[in-house]
Amino acid sequence: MDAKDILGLPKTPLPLTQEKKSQPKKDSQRKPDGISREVYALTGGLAPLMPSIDVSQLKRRPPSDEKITWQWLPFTSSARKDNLQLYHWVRVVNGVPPTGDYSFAKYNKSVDVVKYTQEEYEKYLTDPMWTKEETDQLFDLCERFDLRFVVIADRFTSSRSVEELKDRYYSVSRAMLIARAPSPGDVSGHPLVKEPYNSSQETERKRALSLVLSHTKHQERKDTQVLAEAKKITESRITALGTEESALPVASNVDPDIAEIAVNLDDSASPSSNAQLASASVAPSTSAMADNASTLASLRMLRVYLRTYGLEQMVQAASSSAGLRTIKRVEQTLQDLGVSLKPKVPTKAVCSEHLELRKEILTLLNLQKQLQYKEAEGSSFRDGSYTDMPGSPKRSQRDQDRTFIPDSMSFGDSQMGYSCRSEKSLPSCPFLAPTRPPNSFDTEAIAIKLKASSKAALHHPRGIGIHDVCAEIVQGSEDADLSQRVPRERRGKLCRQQTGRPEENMQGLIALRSSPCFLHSCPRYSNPKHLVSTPRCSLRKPSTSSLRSALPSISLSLFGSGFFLGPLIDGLHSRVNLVVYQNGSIDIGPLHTNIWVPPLLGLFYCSVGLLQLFLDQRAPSKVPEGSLEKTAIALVALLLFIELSAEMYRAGIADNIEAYILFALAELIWFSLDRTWIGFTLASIIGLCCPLAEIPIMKLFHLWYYPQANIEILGQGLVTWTATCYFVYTPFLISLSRWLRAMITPPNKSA
Amino acid sequence: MSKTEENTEKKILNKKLKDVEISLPIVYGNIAFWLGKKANEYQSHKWTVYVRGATNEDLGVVIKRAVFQLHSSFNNPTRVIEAPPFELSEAGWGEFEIAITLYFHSDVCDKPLNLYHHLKLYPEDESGSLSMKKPVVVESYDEIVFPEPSEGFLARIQSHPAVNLPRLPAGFTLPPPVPVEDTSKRKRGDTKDHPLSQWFMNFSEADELLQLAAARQQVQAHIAKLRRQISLIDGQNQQLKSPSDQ
Repeated sequence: MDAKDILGLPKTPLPLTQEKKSQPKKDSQRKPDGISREVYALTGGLAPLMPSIDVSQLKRRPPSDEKITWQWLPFTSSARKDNLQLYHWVRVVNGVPPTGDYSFAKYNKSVDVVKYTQEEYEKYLTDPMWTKEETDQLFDLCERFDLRFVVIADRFTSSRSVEELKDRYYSVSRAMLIARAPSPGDVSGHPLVKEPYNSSQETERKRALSLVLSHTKHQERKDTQVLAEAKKITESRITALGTEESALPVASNVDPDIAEIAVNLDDSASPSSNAQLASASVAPSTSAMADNASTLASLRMLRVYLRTYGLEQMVQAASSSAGLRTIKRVEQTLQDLGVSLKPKVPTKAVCSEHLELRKEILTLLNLQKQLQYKEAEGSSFRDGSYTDMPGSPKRSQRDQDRTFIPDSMSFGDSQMGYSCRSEKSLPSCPFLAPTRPPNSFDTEAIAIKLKASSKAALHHPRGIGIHDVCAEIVQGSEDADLSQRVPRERRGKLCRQQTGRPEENMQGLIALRSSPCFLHSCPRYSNPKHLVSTPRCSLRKPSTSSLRSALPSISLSLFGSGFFLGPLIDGLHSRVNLVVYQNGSIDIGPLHTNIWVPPLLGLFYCSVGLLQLFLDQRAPSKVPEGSLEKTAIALVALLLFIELSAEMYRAGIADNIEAYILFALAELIWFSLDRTWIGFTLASIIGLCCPLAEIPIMKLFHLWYYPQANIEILGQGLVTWTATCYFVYTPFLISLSRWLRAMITPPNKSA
Repeated sequence: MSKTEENTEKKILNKKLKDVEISLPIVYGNIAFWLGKKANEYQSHKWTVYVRGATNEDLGVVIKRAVFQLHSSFNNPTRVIEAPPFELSEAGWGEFEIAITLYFHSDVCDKPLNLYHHLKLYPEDESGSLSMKKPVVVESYDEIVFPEPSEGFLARIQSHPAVNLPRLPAGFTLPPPVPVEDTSKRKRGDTKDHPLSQWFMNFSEADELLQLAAARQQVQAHIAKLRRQISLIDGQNQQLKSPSDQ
């Protein structure tokens, strides 16, 4: 139906049958006949479980053979004891009036009030408070008024309260019941016997109810106040050190009910179950006062607790002021120190030691933060124009005690000319023209220097980081006789490529300003060429953003080198007919190649190069910097390798021997050039995948084939030792990509 | 009269001592033996869960009874052990958490204490083969602390080896210890000669203390270094501030 269509509910198709019997079953799925479609759809398209109207009866007409008339007839009711004759309209069918009692007679129920005889009264029911007449009257009234005691009390001649009347009635009934029962056990289950009427309780209850009903607003406010006070007091009792005496102020005009409630609160205040209440009470208390004393107090409130539980509470209290990250750091530190987070043997001494250790670690972390903050402050004093601190190295705990290492005076000037020459836009190299000898801490000099260096920083190839500027200023505070040399040295330092030294951190720079030694500014991104030792600081790698911006140019240069260099190298192989080109082959002079080869090789270079750079980004340890020499060496090695393989092939050396030789040589080349496992893995992958990648090219496009293939894979012949050529290609590509990155990224970087 | 005497004595015994803390070192855990050839689908291991004193002393002076709540698939999963040694042996196939509730004597504490122990049947390394001889033992050390014990309790156990008492404050006199009944008449409640005692683990706080002390020393050294550096930088910052304020 429409609603189901709209809702997307599945229609439930049922075959239509003609049988009337199956009709009620299908009522729920089909629209019932009695009501219109729209009305039915209002119900949501689903019929109610129990149809409220018997739809089939709706349109039923009385069978036509019956003759219905309505007549005014007299009737009798069994409920009436008198013989009053009443009349009403009666539906007469075919002249036969309906039989049976008056239909409402069955509702004439009455209570079975007990009846006693005189002897029974004298035996069981005498009571000093009640005369027989009164009792009789009571029972008569009870019967007349169906135990409506309020009416009975009103009608009762002598004024007795409802409770008294009830009491008398129930006690008489009870006594009669017990007296008449064959054995007491029979009636012991009867409610009259089991729970006798308690008139004093009833009076009390009604009085209390009336009091509550007659509460004024003022009264209510007072009561809530008292309750709140009671609650506060119980809570403070839990946290206070000591006494268990109740100090609840019970207002004198407080209802007995309220007093009862207050007393109950009092009881529940004392710990009912250790873990439950303690945690509930400790939670508010630790939030209220993050104090060890309060935890101790709350623990003492427990009659008994486990020491591990106690330790947990104390730890929570101690670290309540710290955030989640700090807590995680504390736990990490504990693990680093080799201490388990929960002591295995929690004795009193161990627990207290553990707690103290945690507190000390918290202190340590806070001090570290403080130190960082102070350093930031200090450096912000030094460079007013710099609003941010690029590349301040992150510290780990172990670096706190690193001191800097004095710089060596022997700087290589190899790069100096390069960088300074290339910068034409450097207006006045601040280091070449010192405005005044930076003898002392002269604010003006610093300001000028800062301004100049800020300009230069934008153009400087290597970028002047904070470190450089600070080092420079620090230089400025050196002895006067050294000051003349400062600018030159500074410039040299900034421009040169360092020999391998462990880096400084900012802190070292600032801290030893007064030392006569030159500071060594060697932030990581000034590209020291050969790093002998791995750094211990976890410094930032060359920034990802600069790499990303350089990515297009790097990939382009990789592609370009592959495009041009690749076919030349490949020409060594095609020269000896190791590979013969088919579709699209061209011959450029002595070079036998294919028009598709340059782009393919460009792609190959580009993908391997980018893959390597990507891995470099992700590498956890330091990545060797790209250098031209390394690339050149790798290229030469590759060329020699390929030439050797070509000559061996031409000389007709057996394939397997050639393969062994080349495999060994490939390992040797890897060992001498690369030596990293990741390089090895990458080379192996390339060596395996690229020959396999050649297969579809050969198969589908017929760009080339191997005349003397020695293995067949997927229907194409390959030469096994081409894998080694690819293997040796990889170190070359690795160093090429790194060198290109090193060449291309600095101009894009700004300090 | 004698009744008032009794009452005052009771009051004294019930008085709680604020400065004394009684700690009861316990070890609780389980030992499980693989049944090997006799193992069937529903009973592959025979295990014993127990609460014992850390030095295998009798815990009955403190603990009145222990209730072990087992998995509902066991018959009568609530097992009550009325007398020391508080242990329970069963056979089964599954690992589940057992809730141990310790009820103490009336003069010790009227609130029970809950412990939770995960029953372990299989060894940690899954590759290791099950052996019938070597059981899987998992024990946890913990201490039950009574922060404000009553005098009566204190008097009763003042020289009992199961309990650790700190030094009593000076000038403190305890009522004389109640004479203990003849030990030979009572069944031995300690676990010193328990058949499984060879598998009990040893817990020594000395190792932990050493470890913790070493760690603390390291951290303190770092803190001192940091403090030095901070003061150094503070000095420099001060100097930096003063010229620039000119």
